[in-house]
Parts: sequence; structure tokens; C-alpha cells
Amino acid sequence: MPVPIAGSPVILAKDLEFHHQDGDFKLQVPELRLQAGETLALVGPSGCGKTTLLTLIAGTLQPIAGQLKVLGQDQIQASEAQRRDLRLRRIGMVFQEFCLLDYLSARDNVLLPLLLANQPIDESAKTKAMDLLCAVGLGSVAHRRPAALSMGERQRVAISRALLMDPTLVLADEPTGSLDFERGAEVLNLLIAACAERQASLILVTHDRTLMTKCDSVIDAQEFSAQQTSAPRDNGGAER
Amino acid sequence: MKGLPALALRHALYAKGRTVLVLLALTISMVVPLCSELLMGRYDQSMRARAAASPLLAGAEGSAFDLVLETLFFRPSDHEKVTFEFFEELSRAQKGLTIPLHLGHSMRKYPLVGTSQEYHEQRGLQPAEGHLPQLNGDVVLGATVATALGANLGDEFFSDPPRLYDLTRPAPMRLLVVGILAPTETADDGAVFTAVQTSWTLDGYYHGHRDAESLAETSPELVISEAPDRLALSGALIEDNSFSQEKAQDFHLHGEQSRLPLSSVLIFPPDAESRTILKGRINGRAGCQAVSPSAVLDDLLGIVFKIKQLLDRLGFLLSAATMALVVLVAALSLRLRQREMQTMDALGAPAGFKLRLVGLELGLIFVTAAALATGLSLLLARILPDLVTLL
Repeated sequence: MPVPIAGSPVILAKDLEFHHQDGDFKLQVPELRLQAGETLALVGPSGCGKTTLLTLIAGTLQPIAGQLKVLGQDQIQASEAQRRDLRLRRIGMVFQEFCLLDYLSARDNVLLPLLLANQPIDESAKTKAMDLLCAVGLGSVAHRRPAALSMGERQRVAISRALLMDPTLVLADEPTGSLDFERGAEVLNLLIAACAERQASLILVTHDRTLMTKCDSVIDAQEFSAQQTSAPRDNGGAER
Repeated sequence: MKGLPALALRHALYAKGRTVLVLLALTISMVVPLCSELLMGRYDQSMRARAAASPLLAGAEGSAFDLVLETLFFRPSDHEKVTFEFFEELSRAQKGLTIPLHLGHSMRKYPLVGTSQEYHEQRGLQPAEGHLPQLNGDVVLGATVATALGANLGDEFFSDPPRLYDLTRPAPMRLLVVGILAPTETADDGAVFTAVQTSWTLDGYYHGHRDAESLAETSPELVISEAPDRLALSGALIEDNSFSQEKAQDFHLHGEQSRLPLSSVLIFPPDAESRTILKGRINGRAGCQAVSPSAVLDDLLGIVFKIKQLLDRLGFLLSAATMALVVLVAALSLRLRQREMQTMDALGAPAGFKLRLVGLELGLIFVTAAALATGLSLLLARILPDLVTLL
């Protein structure tokens, strides 16, 4: 498992290129850096490549050119097994559609990364999953299956699942897209707070520009010309 | 439990309908061949062992199958009878031990076998309780019969009426349990044994009533005609229907014992030469036959195993259809679970995890079905009726 050198960026992309074989769409990222503990909002209209960039970082897709290092691992040189392993053990994933397994309870959905890693579920793992659910206010519904949960509750379960392996990096693809404004804000605050608590970096894909104020930096995916636009920090911090 | 089996088990339990369908289909497809194999193996072994323990069998002309199945497995048959005289002739020939067998009666639906003490010795039938029949009316029960009837020594049972509405047949007789045989895992466990004379009494050849002269004095209305050496009594005379020791002397026969019927005679020749001579001699007589039960059963089992081959082919077709169903269910399951599989990929599940998951789930169902099928087959092999009774 690669370990990033202290002070080195969690994500470092240079001259990154990607395009689908059968499509016109082409993604070009001249440069992208994300430091440890930093939160980044990736904004832009639908189809501009936000999710594609996220999946490149996660290692689900492979770039056709350039350089991409995630948590010290060269995602272009790494084998598929290494990329999967990095994703499973060190990257937390949150999806717009929650992507919970219907046949597992909320607690077991949180434990899913451990199940996928084929690790035994011992008492400490169960306690940790319960703690995560309690932290997002779902301790009392941990036994329920997703069908018996509200949309907001499902996304909170998904956030708990993303945090189970104590990830260094969390990738959230429109986590509030299926929620109303109030629930969305609530979920987003939870996610940002949880990442801050763990010193985990966060990339948040959204086209809700009101959310960008909550992140340290904002990138407009439409302008992938190596320009990182600055945004005021929620807490009034310095611009980047 | 580790991740992969835990997920497979949870999904199998969640998709109950699909799991039960596949489980049932697999179980049934396994039970048919397993059951036929177990049953046939059992019958083949037990029938051949029984036949091997019965070197020569003599009886009336007719179906050799019927003669062997009736004598060795007590299967009801309309096979012609031989006479006691025939048995006496064979005994006089001194070509081996001869054992008379009288079949056709039953007690509580279990076959009542009239035979001699030598039968028990030859078959190695030892009473677990009590003793072998000594008096007219004594019976010993096979182990299965004793258990099924919950019978104990000293219990009395009536013989079954031969034909309910036939008034010319003698009434059922009261039979006394004097022994219970140790289990032997043979047809003897399911039979009731008595003396040949008791069977003849049930036939109506032997009967008992009070002394005719004393009856003439106490019930003159029963006397039809009277001569110095002969007293004819009315049919209204009620005959004894039990064999108490006091009445034992009253049982008598109006005729010659040598003409009374027997179902067959079991012969145990001392050597092959005696067997050949005896067999040739009996087969040379009109109306009789001598057979080697092993040879007859070989022919019979040949037919039975053709049926088994048919069952095997049916089982193969059933298995093929079931496997097609399982493949279809697996394919549909993969399609239905596509989103779940995408989620697992997105979270970083190892390559091949999804296929292993579906494979393991089907494997779990398969193992459960195999265990169920084995248990069910063993149970069926125990409770299904003896094949001999179906022949």
C-alpha cells in the first residue's frame, strides 16, 4: 500500500487526458492538486466531466495520458487490483443514488467495505459501524433495511459507510442531488464535519453553487485549463 | 463469518422465493437417482442374501417367481399348493433337511407363516423374549411386527378372517404370543410364525369342540344322526376359537394329514450332488417343481434393474432440466443485481468478487440441497414399502 510522503499532495494530476472511445467528450486537466485535509468543490453543468474526473481519481477509469497520483499511488502505473484495493481501503465513496444494498440492514451496509475486503466482522467492527450511525443520528434504525429508510437517512448511511475504513480521501458525487434543500444541507454539513474530524480530504462534485462556500476551494470543471478558481472559505479563511 | 459467505447467505435469505425454488428443484433432481440407488442397492443385497440362504425350493407347478417370492418374502400369492405327503416323500429321500411352509393366513395384516422349528434354526431366528411355538395356537412375532403392534408375551390376537362374508370359512382363532424374535433385517422381521398344524386349523382342517358323546347328552338338539360307531352333529355346533391347554386335546382332524396342503418345502441339501439329484427328481414329477431361488431372483432382478435404468434416465433428464433452470436463475440474478455489482465495483471490491459471490450463493444452495436430498433419500429408503410387495 503506497504511503504519501508527509506534505505531499493527496491528489496530484498533471496533463491528464481522458476520452471515451466511442464519444466526442474529452477531458483535459492541466493540473490538479489537493492537500491533506482540504475540501474541494468540483462544480459545473451536467456533462462537463465532474463525475469522470472523480472516477479517474478513484481508479475506476484509466486516463489515456498524463500523470495521476492518488495517496502516493501512481494510478496509471498501478494494476487494477492495486487501484481497487486503494479505493476500498483508503478512499471513501459517496454517491448521488446512495448505492446501498437492499438486502443488508443499515448497519451491515456500513460494514460493506469490510465485507468486500473479505474480512471477518468482529465485535469491534460492529461497534464502529454503530458509532458511525449514531454520529449521524441513525443509531435507532441501524437494523432497518434501506427500503424502510427515508432518502436523507439513506444518504447518511452511505456517508457512514464511506467513513468506516477511516479514509484519507472522500469522493462524494452529488451527495445532495436526490435530497431536498434542507436535507441536502444537513447531509453536507455532516459529511464536511466528519472529514474535518478525521483530517480527510474531500472532493465534492456538485452543480449547486451555494455549496461551494462550504469548501476550501472550488474548481469549475468546464474550465479545465489548470485554473483553480478561488472561493471564500465558509469560516472566512484565506482564498486559494 | 467472513465477507463473501456472509453476503452470499444474506442475499440467499433475502431472495427467499428464488432460493426456495432453486433449492426444491435441485433437491428433487438429486432425490430421484439417490433414492433409486439406495433402494435398489438395499433390495438387491437383501434379496440376494435371502436367496443364497435358501438353496432349493420345491412347490407346485406354476410361476417360479410367485413360488420364490411367496416362500422367501411371504408375498401373498395364489400359487397352487402341494400336499404334506409330498413333504414326507422329500423327507424320506434323505437328501437334506426339509422344512414345510404354509402361507396364506395373516394376523393383523402381517403374514402368518406355518412352519417347523427347523425353519428358525436354519434362518438363525432367536427369540429375544419367550420361546418358539410349542403348542397349537402359539405364535412368535417378528421384531417389526412386535414393535408395530406393541405386543408383549402373553398377548392374544385373533387371526384375520380369510374372507369377511364367507360363512363356510372357519372363524378367526385366538393366537397366543409366546415369543418375540430378535431383529434380523430380513423378511422374517415382518412375519408371524406358528406351527403348521395351527395354519391347518385356520384352514378349517383341524377343529376343536367338546367330546361328541358328552355333547349328545347335554345338547341332544345338535345330534343329526346316531349310529353305533358314528355320531353326526349339526352345523350349528359352535367350534372352539381358542387353543387353551385344556382344549388342546379336543383339536382333531377328520381325514388324513398327508393330504393337507403346504405352500412349499424348503430344502437344504448337504452337497451339490444331492441338490442336483433332488431337483431332477422333483422336476420329473407331474405337478411339481424345484427351483434355485438365486437363479429365479437373478431373472427377477434383471427386470427390476431395467426399471432402474429407466429411472436413471429420468433422473438424468430431470437433472439436465434443473441445471438449465439454475443457469437461467443465475443469469437473471446477475442481471437483476447489476446495480449492486456496480456499487461493489465502485467501492473497490476485488476483481471476480461478484462472480464468486453468485457462485458461492449457488454453492450454498447446492450443498443445502445435497444435504436435504441425502436425508430425504435415507428417510424414503427406510419408510418406502418393501419392493417385494410391489412386484
